[in-house]
Amino acid sequence: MPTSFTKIFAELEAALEAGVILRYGVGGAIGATFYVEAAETEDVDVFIAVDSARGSPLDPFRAVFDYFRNRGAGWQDEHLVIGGWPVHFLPSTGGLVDDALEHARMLEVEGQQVRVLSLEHLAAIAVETKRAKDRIRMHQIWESPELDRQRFGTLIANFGLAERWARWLALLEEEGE
Amino acid sequence: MKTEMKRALQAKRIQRAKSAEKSVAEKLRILERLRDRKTAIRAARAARP
Repeated sequence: MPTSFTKIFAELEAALEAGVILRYGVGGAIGATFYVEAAETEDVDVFIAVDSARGSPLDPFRAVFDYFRNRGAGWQDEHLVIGGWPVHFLPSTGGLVDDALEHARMLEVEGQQVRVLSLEHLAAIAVETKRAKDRIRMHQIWESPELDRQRFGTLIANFGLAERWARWLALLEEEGE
Repeated sequence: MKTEMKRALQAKRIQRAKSAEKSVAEKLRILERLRDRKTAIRAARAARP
């Protein structure tokens, strides 16, 4: 039996095809599940880029929300609910997230295609966001053989995260002992 | 904070060893079950007088 995530992924692909969103990439704990072990979460983070000319400049996500609501998405605590999961649409803020969306990987689960941020971008975004849960995730990612450390290092250098990463790496090594 | 982080990491390592062989679909099903369990616990708590 397909998971409820299949419904979310199908809806995202449909929105892309309809031109409601220009790009998307699943990130956060669900994105990381494609590469490392599952980490409990209560929502699905989806980074998106929208066509600003399509909606109001003051409310660029309105067209996106309207699209999903018209297709039966629910609404809870200011978030859309698709397939029973609150879905957080996170706007592309330029820089690293733009690059992450450009290089999102097309993957497949249960016969459904889905675009997922690369593990290296997920790691770099974790460093940029620097929440405690991001640091725990970074431990998982850093120890994963799936991580291309050279590519990750390039992202860190290109997006001005070297100093922050150096501090994190020292903590990771200390905590990982 | 460091002790808490070390404990969390140890738990993660155990979890990682258990889930190393699981497919993405299996991992997503686990997340669904965790979510359903949490929802049921919350509902039960809310129903308490």
